[in-house]
Amino acid sequence: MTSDVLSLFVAHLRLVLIAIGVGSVFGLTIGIVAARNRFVERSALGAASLIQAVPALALLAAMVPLFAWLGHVSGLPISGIGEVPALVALTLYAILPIARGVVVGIRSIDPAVDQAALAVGMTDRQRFRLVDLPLAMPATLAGLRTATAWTVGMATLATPIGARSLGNLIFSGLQTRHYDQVALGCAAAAAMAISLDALLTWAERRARGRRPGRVAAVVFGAIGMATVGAVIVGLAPSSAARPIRIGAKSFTEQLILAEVLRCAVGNNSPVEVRPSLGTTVAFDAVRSGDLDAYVEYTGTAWSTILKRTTQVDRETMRSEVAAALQRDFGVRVVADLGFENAYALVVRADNPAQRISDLGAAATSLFGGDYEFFERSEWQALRASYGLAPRETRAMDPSLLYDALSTGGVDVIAGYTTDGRIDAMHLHVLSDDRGAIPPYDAIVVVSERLARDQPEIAARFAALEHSIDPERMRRWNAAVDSGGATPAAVVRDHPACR
Amino acid sequence: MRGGTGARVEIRDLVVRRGNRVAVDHVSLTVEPGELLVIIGPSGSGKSSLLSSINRLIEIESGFVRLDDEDARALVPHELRRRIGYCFQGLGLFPHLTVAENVGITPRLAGWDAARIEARIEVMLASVGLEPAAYRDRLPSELSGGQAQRVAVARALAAAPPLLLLDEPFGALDPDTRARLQDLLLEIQRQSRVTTILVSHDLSEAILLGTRIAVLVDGGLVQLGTPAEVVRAPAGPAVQALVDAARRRAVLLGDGTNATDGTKAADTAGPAT
Repeated sequence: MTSDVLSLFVAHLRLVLIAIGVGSVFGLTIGIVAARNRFVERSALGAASLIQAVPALALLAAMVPLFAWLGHVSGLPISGIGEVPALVALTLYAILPIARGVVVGIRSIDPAVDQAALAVGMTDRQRFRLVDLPLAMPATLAGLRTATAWTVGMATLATPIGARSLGNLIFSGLQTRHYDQVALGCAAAAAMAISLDALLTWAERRARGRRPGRVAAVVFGAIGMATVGAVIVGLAPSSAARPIRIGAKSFTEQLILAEVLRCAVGNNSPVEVRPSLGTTVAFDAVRSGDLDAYVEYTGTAWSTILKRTTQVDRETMRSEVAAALQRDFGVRVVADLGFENAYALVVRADNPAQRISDLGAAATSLFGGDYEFFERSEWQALRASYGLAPRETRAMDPSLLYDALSTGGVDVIAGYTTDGRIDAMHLHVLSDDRGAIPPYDAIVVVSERLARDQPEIAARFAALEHSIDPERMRRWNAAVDSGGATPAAVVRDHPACR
Repeated sequence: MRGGTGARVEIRDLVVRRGNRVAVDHVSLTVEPGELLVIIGPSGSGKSSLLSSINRLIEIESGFVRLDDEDARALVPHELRRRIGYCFQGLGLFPHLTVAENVGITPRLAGWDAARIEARIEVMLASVGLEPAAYRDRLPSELSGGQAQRVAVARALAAAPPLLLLDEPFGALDPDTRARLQDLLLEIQRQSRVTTILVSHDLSEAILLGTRIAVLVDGGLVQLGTPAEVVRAPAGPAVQALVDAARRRAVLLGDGTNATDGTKAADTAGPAT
């Protein structure tokens, strides 16, 4: 755990340093040109402001399809997830405050000083180098300080697009209700932000006195060296054994299953878990080989990935998904884990309905679902089959759904059949008497690269076939969600982990 | 301090435009080497525009400025400015440079070697009454108004220019400091014989400092003469108004020093060379 925190801290710092380093190069250049050219100021700073107006999480998320598209059109092995797209987004965010610092710094120089610079016989270039630039440094360093604080915070949001950071602790802690882990992640990020801020505040104060140019040169020089160092540190492990990268979506069961996959890999290869990924992000990553494996569900693959809308029986869907994923995307389905985690409509125990068709007046009440649910074809099918017309639908984090239902915030939720909280919170599942919801058998999908280059590991994943029954999955989920256990601890009774 | 001999400044038919306004309207005058010419006039009379067109901080519209028979436009502006000391009310001391670095800036730009610059900084600081050891490493923010003004004068004269331009240099100072700096300027100017053109809106200052006074009204030169000539025979109502204003202020002091003050300044300044 401690070493994990340390390695996430280092990964986080790496993201910050590289983004700030590259952002400084662009920010200083744009700032310097913009300060001397109104057109550049309007266009470049305008564009940077526009980027800044995009919420941080949205900007990070936008990198996923953008990079996937770049990889697609260029034919280069560009990955849509991981560090590189995260770094591009962080860098874009860091540019504006730095560039604006330079411009503000130069613009706010006392006109008498500029007049004097000419009067003592400086050329335009000398005035820029000896007067304007040094005097702009305090404001520039203030901009750098802002950029650094933003970047440290924003890097925690890089987790959902597959970059390791302190956000891993926060996201998976939130998911599994390990708030100590959340607090640890937040505290570590805050400590990083505060230390860097203190360092830069000190430099900024120094730059208000003598030799601001020299102070700034030291600061940016140090950042430059740290950036180069951070890049080198990042390149080094890739020459060693590449870790097996296992993905997990943003709910407890996925984090637990990632630990089962980790067990299956065994101790001979290092394993890295990338948590809190969305379905498309995870699948695109397995397709491109950035991820080696994760657990998908047949119904999700059927509707979200293969975009099928027809209703078929369990066995047909299972074999059709396996065939289509390999044929269309090169992704292999190597194991059927033996349980199903379907969406199911869940109500409080005091609701007399047993079947969805019994909902009656509740069919028009408040519905809650995870971020994906109301956009999915299952929801369309449910509405059409049962005439559901909720007064309002609320998309929320899966970890909050059950609380929202039991406290009366919503009346019906789209829960998951394996969720331990259904029993723990005295809720009950409505049966799908008209068969609108497709089957959701948990399957292990692996990348083409893994199947080709490391077939022995693919074979170990295949050996997980039917090794988890529904009761065990529900018990695990309950142990983590309500019992305070960690995902790694609950899977110890699985054969692969013993 | 030796600044070499002063330059002769010849201004002919000078027209300077600021935006759509004609700020200096066909002015001609000659300033002899070592002379201290004071340009006075009410606000907006074009005196600052005239001054800063000499070192080309403002470009001239027509006419010419010659320094020792060399057209100011024949030089690139920064080369010209390194030969002309310039000091203005805003001072514009470089806030990130020490007193010594501020004073040494023009010699440094002109490519003097370090030892010569150092020696020059010592001499200049001493000549403006600042103990070099106590002041050289201070930042401008650590100086009083009068000390900053002295540094600005030292900076303007550091490269031993043959011409010094002063734009209301003492305007922002308290009367006591101002009087001491005026004395200092007279002393430095007489020793170095640097040709000096000083802009002021105050006739008393002009009488005290100037070997000759040029009165500018609405961009035109209305009178050019010694302080005594200007006081005794003001050319026109505008000059008369300036003289009256100075006299009223002097009378308010209550001991009739206006006449002696004016005469003394004119006498000690001697005839224009």
